[in-house]
Amino acid sequence: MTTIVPLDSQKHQSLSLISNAGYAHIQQSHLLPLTVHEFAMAATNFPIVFVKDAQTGQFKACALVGLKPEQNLFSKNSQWLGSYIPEFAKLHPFVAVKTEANSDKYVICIDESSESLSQKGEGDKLFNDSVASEVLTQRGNAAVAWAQKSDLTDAFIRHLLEVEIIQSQSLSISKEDQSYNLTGCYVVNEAALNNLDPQVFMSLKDKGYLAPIYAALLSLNQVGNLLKLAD
Amino acid sequence: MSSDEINTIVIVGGGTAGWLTAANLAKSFNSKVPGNIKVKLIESPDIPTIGVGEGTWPTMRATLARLGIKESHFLATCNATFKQGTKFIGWQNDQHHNQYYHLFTSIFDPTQFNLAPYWLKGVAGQSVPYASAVSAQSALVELGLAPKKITTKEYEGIQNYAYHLDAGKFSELLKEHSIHSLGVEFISANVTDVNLSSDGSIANVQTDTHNKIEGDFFIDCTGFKSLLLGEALGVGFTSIKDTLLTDHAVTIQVPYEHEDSPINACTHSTAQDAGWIWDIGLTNRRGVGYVYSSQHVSHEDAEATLRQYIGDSAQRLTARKIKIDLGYRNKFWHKNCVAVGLSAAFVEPLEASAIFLIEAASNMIADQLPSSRQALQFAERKFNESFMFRWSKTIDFIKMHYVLSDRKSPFWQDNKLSSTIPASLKNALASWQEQSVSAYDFAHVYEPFPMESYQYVLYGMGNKPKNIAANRYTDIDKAKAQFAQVQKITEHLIKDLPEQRALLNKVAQYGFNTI
Repeated sequence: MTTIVPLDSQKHQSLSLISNAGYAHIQQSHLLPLTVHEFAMAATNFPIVFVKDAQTGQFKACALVGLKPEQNLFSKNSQWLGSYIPEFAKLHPFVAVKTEANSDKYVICIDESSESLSQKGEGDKLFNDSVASEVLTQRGNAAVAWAQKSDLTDAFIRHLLEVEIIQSQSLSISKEDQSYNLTGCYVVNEAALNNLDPQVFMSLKDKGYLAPIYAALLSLNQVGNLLKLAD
Repeated sequence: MSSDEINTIVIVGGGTAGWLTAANLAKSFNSKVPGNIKVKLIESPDIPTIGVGEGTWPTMRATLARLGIKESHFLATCNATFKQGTKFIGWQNDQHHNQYYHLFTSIFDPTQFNLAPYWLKGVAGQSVPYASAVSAQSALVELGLAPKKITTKEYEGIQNYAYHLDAGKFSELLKEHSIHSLGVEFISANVTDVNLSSDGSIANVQTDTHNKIEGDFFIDCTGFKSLLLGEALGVGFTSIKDTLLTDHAVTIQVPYEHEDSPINACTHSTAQDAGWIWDIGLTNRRGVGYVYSSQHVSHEDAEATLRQYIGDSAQRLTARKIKIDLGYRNKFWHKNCVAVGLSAAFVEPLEASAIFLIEAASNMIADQLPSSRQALQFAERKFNESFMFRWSKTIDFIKMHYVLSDRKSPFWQDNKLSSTIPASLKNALASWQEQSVSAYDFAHVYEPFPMESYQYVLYGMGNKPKNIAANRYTDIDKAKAQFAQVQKITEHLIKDLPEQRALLNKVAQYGFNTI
């Protein structure tokens, strides 16, 4: 059970961070959030899909890293089996949360239940006499940067929805006697992209959206990569 | 271009009927493109609109989607909520705590495999109400759950649903959309006169501020007044006050105690000595009203009954009394004029048929309006036949709710007098005493209430066939499996669906996706 709370220099004064704690926190996630900036790299490893957040109904871009819920084929014995690790996986146990819905101010939160946190002084201290340590500053900045990129990703997805090139697709994958059926996934639809009005298409180019769109499209071929890992 | 062509449609009167018809026709004819059929609507700046009921049927989802209105926008602007059916409280008899549900969803299609005879035989268990045996929805509604989730796309439901809405705000939304997105021409004026041609059709309407408005086809949405069809064309009115005995309603708008008070997931309809009380939950308030027969209760006592139903919070609230004339025009379409809404007919709001029949009428006009005036007579005949059927079926269905009751007060006893019951309903009820209701009773494509609706009401009211022979309906295993499946789905949905208020708050914040 994750317990995300705002970081507090008094309450969390004695905590320290174990930097090589592995990927236990995403061991059971078959979807990992991505930012649009990562699409080109992510596409060389995983299918990029769009899924609705259960709490808000809003679309998130995700790397599909398993063929069924609670399966992460890339994380094995503390090792990452791909050439690319989604940034999100490296933020843990930190997360930057907006102070208000439309604000650009963030508060750094931590997952108190994380195995990468220690009360016994292992690893790097988060605070030196109530002052944020270098490690904490670095990781906090990374969390904020990721949150900002996530906002840009939301804008990117909203635009794709507006021009109607994302469509629902249940991924039916079968190989020999194994078959998988993933519902709730949405992908860039190539036909819809090709049928766009030229002006609308050019607006995608002007916004710099074409590269990530094609990356997402090509990434769907990585289903084969997942099947290979599942063997 | 021959003068015989129908190029301009003039709708007189706004409100739900006027604007829904205008939007539907303008969408069908793509009226925003110059040269296509033109739709004009004349609305009086002086006449207030009557909010005809605040309940719709599930058909409204397809209607709004087709008009190009986002569901989230509709919900927010009309304070609308999800309606999953009606809970009838106290309708069976005078004893406390009797209730049943008329729902929108059955898990299995009864025209494929009809579970009702098996339920009647007790296969679902002896004390399981019919609605709980065939649908998950009564359990969901009891818990105040929504029919869908924030991740469900707009206008799609995990359970079938309609809406409760603020009719005044709904008209405003449709007006805005009709004018700005669908190309309807809006004329704010009072119609002072209706001028006829030599052939008895309408030539134009005279207004106070915009001179004469010419048109090829006219739609009367002037409410009970029926200015065009009734007054100008002289089409008579048939009262049904001898069949449906209610003639007044007193209504009160009740604010919620807290802004996060739960919202009912269905209409509540509670039987009273001289009629029944509706209770409809919007996002910002409840709308309650007592529909009654002034022959059986005084206006003062009716209002007191309604206040008692609401409780202490009613003290500071004002009540509004409305007279309702139940009945229909002898024709709905005459020459180049058709009436839609209250100007055509009105039956009491028991099954929320008013807005539904506006949708149905405007759909048929859009489909059947001929290109030339010479062909109007054929469309007229078809439309009149179709809607006479739909209205008479609606009257029968509503009357059935009363006829099946064992309540003892004079209003309810008078409702059971043979002279008040249409022959068609008597026949149907007699046949359902021998054989359970089946798909063969509903051969007409435009049957307003489907077989399921009759099953929910008949079996909810405890009206069962006299006998179901043991040697009939022998696929017990299949029935058992389906009843078990309903229970399984019910348990799953109870865990899966959010509360109505919680979902509506999320919709206001995030909106539904269109995919």
